[in-house]
Order: sequence, then structure tokens, then C-alpha cells
Amino acid sequence: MERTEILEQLFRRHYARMLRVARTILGDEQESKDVVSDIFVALLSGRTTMMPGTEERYLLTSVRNQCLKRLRHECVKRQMADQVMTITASDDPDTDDERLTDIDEFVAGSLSEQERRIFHMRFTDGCTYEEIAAAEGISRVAVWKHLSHALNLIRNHFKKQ
Amino acid sequence: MQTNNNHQLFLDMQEHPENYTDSELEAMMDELDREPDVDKEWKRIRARSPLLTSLRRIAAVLIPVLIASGIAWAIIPQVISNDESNESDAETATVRQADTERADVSPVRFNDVRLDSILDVVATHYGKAVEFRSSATRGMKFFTTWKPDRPLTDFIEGLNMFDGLQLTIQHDTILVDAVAGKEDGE
Repeated sequence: MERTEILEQLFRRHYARMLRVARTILGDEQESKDVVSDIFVALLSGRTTMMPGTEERYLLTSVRNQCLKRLRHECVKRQMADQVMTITASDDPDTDDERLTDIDEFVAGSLSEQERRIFHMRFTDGCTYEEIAAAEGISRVAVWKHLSHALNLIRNHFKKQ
Repeated sequence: MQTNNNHQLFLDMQEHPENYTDSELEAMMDELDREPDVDKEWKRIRARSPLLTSLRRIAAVLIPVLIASGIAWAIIPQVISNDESNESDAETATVRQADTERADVSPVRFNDVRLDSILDVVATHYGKAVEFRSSATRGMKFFTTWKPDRPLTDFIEGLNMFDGLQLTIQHDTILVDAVAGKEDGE
């Protein structure tokens, strides 16, 4: 099977979930599509390659990281600057990467077990609100409120730094 | 979600869900989880593929020149790539050629093409920018062949064998300088 065909299959399998992650972070339809599109354009051009067996994790992690980095560049113009994870204060990409690691560590160490599961299902795995609600046995609105609480904790924690 | 107002609403709903009714939150979640048109988005991405875009630029540069020169449409695809093609419609053949994996490794011939047009194509393929530090080199024309599957340095070395210019790669940029005393050589 040719590389383009493999990438098309990956795209068809993962696009909806990738887009959900982007929508959840950016809250903008066109920007979200652009982030996913950029990732696949880089793959099609051969500038980026994936290790076999890691494709799904690579794609979803790339979406999350690219969205957060995009926020850094556009935060000055947008209220989102202090909305999601306050990752935007730095002009240094290396600092961004450190912040991403810090966020992961904060999520692992400071959120409740349920909120941690919900956070990862939405931001890391791209699950729908319906899927998360079914997995947790709670309503979709309850999922939204858990995510909202988690984001507020993260935002407040990093604002103090 | 597609407008600024909806974007602000999204942000406020995340920060202050207590200010919204359940049905308002449900509506926002429906919007965030709406199924995308995968076919349409895949076509959009394929259209943005760097090589396809590059070949379209080549076609845009070359086709008017060839027509003006009285060269038949039927040979245009061979100018874009040296792969043989039975397709008689030049544009269709060009796009079809670029749309296959084969195009990734097929050499591309530039016949009497300006340096800035050549580098536009080549630099895009390797993800580089181009900086002309001498405007005299922009309009220089070359007959040369580029193999997209080879390292960029191979192509640069080939161009540097021509009189009048010196190309170097610095980080993500191809720098183009005129060689002193040879600016009028081309």
C-alpha cells in the first residue's frame, strides 16, 4: 500500500477525533481544521514521519500540542490567552514544551481520579461528550462541568507561577 | 462556534458553566461534537499537498511560455515531469501526475525557467524559505533537472556550478548571492 493511501486511511479513521480535540482547545472551527490539515500536509510531504504502531497517539498528541502552540502565537489578540492553561506567556518554544509537561504533571497529581480520566478522554483521546458520559455513567452536562472545573484549576495554578 | 460571538460564548461557557442552562450547554456540546465531512476535508488537504501546489506553480509559469512558443499542448506534461504520459489534456495530466506517489520521486525538468520560480518550487518541497540577497539573480534562467527524492544539497551543488551565483543553506533558508565579478555572466 502506498504512503498516501495509508495516510488517507489514518485520516479517515482519526479525523473526527482529532478535530474534536482541536475544537475543544481552540473553540474555532476553521482554526481547528487548519491544525489537523497542517499535520497531514506535513505527513504527505514526507517532512514528518511516524513510527509504526504509534500513529494514533502521534496524531492526537500532535493536535493538542499544535493547538496549544497556536494559542501562544495568537494569544495577544484573543481572549483565549488566559483561558486555556495560560500557556501563552512565553515567547520561547522550549518553554512551551516545558509548560506542556508541567500541565501533564499537574493533571496527574492534582486532579481527582474522575476528572483526570475525563480530561484525558476529551483532550488526549478526542472522545465525544456522549462517549465520556457513557463511560463514566454521568450526564453530558456533568462531563462539561467536570472539564470546566479541571480547566479552572489548571488555569489558576499556572496563573500563580 | 464559527463566529467571534460563538467563540466568546464557548470560552465563557467553559469558565462559567453555572451561568448557562443545561440545554445551552447541550447545544454547545452538539456543536463541538458535530461530525465533519471527511471526504471534503481530505480533498482540501490533498489540494494543499506541497508537491501538488509546486507543480501547479510550475505549470502556471511554463504553460504560457510554451504556448507562446508554439509548442503543442500534448508535450506539456513531459515538461512538467519526464514521465511519459498518454494524457492529451495538459492540466489534467499535470495534476494527475502530481497526485500520485510516483510524482514524489520523478525528476522534474526546468527548461529555461527563472531561478526565483525554480527555487519557489524546490524550497517549498524541502520546507525552506528563499532569500535573494542579489536581485540580479532572480531572473536568471536555467535548464536543469531536480530530483525531489534527493537531498536539497545535491540540487544546490548543481546550481552552484553555473556562473554568476552562489547558493547556500542556512538553517531553514536558502540564501542566493551573486558571485562578485560574474553578475553579468548569465
